[in-house]
Amino acid sequence: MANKKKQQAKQKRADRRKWLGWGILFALVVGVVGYIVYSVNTSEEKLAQGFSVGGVTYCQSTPKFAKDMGYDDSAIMSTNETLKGLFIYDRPLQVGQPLAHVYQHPTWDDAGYLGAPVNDADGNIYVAPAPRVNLYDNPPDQQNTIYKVDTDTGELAEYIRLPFAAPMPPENPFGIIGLAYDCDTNSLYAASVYGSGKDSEAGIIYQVDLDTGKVESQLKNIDAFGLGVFNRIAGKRLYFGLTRKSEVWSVALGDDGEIRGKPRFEFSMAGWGADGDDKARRIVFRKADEMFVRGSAFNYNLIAGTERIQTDYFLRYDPAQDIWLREDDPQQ
Amino acid sequence: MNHRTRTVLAITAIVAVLLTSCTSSSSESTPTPPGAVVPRATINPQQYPLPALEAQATLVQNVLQQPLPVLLLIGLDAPRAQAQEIAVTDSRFQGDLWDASTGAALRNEIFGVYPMRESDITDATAQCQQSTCYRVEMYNYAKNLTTVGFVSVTDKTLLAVTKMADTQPDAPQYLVDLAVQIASESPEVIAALGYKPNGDDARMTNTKTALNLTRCQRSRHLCLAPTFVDGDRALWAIVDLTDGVLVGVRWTDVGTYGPAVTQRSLQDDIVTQLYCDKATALERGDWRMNFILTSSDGLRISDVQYKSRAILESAKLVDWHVSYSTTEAFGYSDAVGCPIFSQAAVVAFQGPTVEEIVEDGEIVGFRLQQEFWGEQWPLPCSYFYVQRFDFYNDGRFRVAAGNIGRGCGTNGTYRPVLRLALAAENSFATWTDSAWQAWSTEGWQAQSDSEPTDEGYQYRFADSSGAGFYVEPGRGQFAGERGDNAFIFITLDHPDRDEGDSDMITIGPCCNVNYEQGPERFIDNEPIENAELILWYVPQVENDGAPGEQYCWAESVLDRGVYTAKEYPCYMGPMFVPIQNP
Repeated sequence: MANKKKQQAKQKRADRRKWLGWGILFALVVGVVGYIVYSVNTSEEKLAQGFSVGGVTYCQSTPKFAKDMGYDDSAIMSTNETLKGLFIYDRPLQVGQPLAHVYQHPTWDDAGYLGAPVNDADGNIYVAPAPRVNLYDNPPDQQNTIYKVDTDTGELAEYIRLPFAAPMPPENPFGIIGLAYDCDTNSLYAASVYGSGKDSEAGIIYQVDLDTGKVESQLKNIDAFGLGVFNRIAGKRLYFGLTRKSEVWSVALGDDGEIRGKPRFEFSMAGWGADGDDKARRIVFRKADEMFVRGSAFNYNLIAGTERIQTDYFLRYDPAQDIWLREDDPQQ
Repeated sequence: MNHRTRTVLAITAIVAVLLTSCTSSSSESTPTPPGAVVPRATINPQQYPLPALEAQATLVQNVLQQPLPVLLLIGLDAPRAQAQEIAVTDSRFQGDLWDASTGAALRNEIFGVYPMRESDITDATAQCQQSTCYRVEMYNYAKNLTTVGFVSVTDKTLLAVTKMADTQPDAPQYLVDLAVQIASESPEVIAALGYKPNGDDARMTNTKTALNLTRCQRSRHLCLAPTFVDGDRALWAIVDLTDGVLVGVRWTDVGTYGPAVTQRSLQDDIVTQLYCDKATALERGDWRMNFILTSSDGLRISDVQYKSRAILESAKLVDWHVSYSTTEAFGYSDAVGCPIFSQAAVVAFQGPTVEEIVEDGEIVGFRLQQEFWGEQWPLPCSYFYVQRFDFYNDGRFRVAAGNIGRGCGTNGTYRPVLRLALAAENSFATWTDSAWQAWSTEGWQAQSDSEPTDEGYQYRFADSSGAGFYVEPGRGQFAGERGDNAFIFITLDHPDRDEGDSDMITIGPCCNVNYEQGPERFIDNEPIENAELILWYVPQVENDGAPGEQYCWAESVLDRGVYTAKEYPCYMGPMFVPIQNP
């Protein structure tokens, strides 16, 4: 009887050891798999073959309908403070010259006042509503919708309604406030603060695959507006200006344009310009190593264009340190 | 002590610690006032409270009369004094000393004369590598402009001039001292600290770093921020040295890294915390009410009582519709409200003010007033709006909207949309054919559609006992006003339907010239006799910029060497007069 009890105890210990061993092995496997997945998602890839260092808007083209109407590649597709919707005109030869050959398709004011347009490689135009001094022409339920102007017909129509994290609170009249295009991956990036409130940051940066018209990846809980993709030797990054701080951040992109990993701080704009509290409203990469940032105040309230003071800043990329250095500081 | 006892004691101890920490954290969470914004006021040089400020004003006035209107820096050594003289007497350095259109002197001052820095060496100043050179820094208060002259004393030559818009050089020590004195004498600083500080209490701000940390973005004035440290907190006092006034005070935590306190951040934070995030109770004489700043409907008063009788459920300013007659459909629908996280385009930089109404030397009531600015006012296409709620000791009250220009032209018409929800049940009547004609259903009317009584009463709200108010629209009878020419709309206040009780997005377009201003959407012929009613009151007032006739207008004028606004306000809104002996 005693031997039997001893044998049972011994068996139990052996079972425990066996289960412990299996448990450790399982944990190791989970850890390794998790690490691999995390690494793939966060690590930057070397820039893929065929992609060039610098900005990624080289392929953007003039809409076909505009060429058919006699506009050349220098024509300007514009949205401005006083005219509702989108319109096109010939580039003035001199500053201050009256606009010539101005055209607006009947559908181009259907979505109210609009933010800056972005063209794709085929000449399709993507725009999002951007309220000016009121929401009369920009109802809240349209603020998270991207509209597309067809390159062939010139018609503006709803393209995609982006999902949002929270309903639009009365304290925040904005939705999509930034768009950028990447020719390498045919991706459209949209920054939206739809649903964000004073005490809750619910903004999302979306990657929309223009081949499928679907949202392929998202970066959540970040309120941003100025967007731009830049190819470094170490890989693609999406740069974005925060709306709550005078800071520019970035996040790695895969070769397929997918947003990967965690965002990282790039530089602060605190103290820049006359006001010292500019936010990066617009980010454009001009040459292989040049970033243009348009800064202005942003307080989640509406503002007339005549009231907005904007300052342009230029930065140059230092590939050795993988950082951006301001070039235009008069105090330096 | 056995194991169980030890466990019970340990749990008891943990609970006690948790309770203690909860108690202490709740006592620590007692809100500290965030600071204060000093209401803007017209500067009167005769009433400068500080001798140093008065002396400076006199000095500035004298300098403006000089052929070369530049306040020079004194106490310099000989080479620096020479560099200063070479710079200010050179025409290239004098480009912004006078107003371009009138030739009037602007306020200019040399802030510093420094040895040239290595970074100042350019092609134009290359000879400074072999000679003695200085940089002479001048500040133009009117244009918020810095002019820097690079002077070779060896060659007695001004080598180069650079100008930096919206930039201020480091202030000279006497201005730093003046800023400390203004701050130290300010009631807001004394109230915040709980004592009157002496100058030594201020952490001074004339280092490069500190000067970069505050700006007056809205006024575009020269500002310094003396900082008073009190335990683990620091009180920033932003001083506007162009006007010689305190802008406001703001508490921050010492040692916490955060964005700099500036005029804009101070005003936005304090207005939001004190007036947007919570309602404030106000009791004066026989009147009692609450008020709060809304996202887009201006200052909203609610639960208004007179001698404990409910008068108004609420009153607010929903929209400003501004149209310009020379261009079809050109104008704006402006909302007024909180400065951040709001749907307003013209916002509050300060909280409401309460002041006495004095007539014939006697206090007859009080005025609750809230102002809203465009950032660039009084520049063209920027706006300045006002809300006024006047409450009189005899039970009268007036809800008014005001405009102080400047807008985009002199052919503008302003149409504010006022919404007043009356308390309790009333019937509405219009004075028609020498009698009060009651309305049976919702509707609208132009002010010109009926005539007032001899006393000026055109409309009447009365309950079943006959008690209530006559309504007296503006016809030019109020001092300085030209009449309202209003549309009125009477709609039912639905308890189960939100027709404007909560914050409203823009209710109408800018440029309709008829009654279609937005409230008509709530008219659906419902009966309104003895019911809870809403009065929508939409005046229509044309602005005027003609000399001598200015109305709803503002101009930028030179005053003591700096640009300031000359205001030509217009006000509009109905007076409510209690029905006597109903």
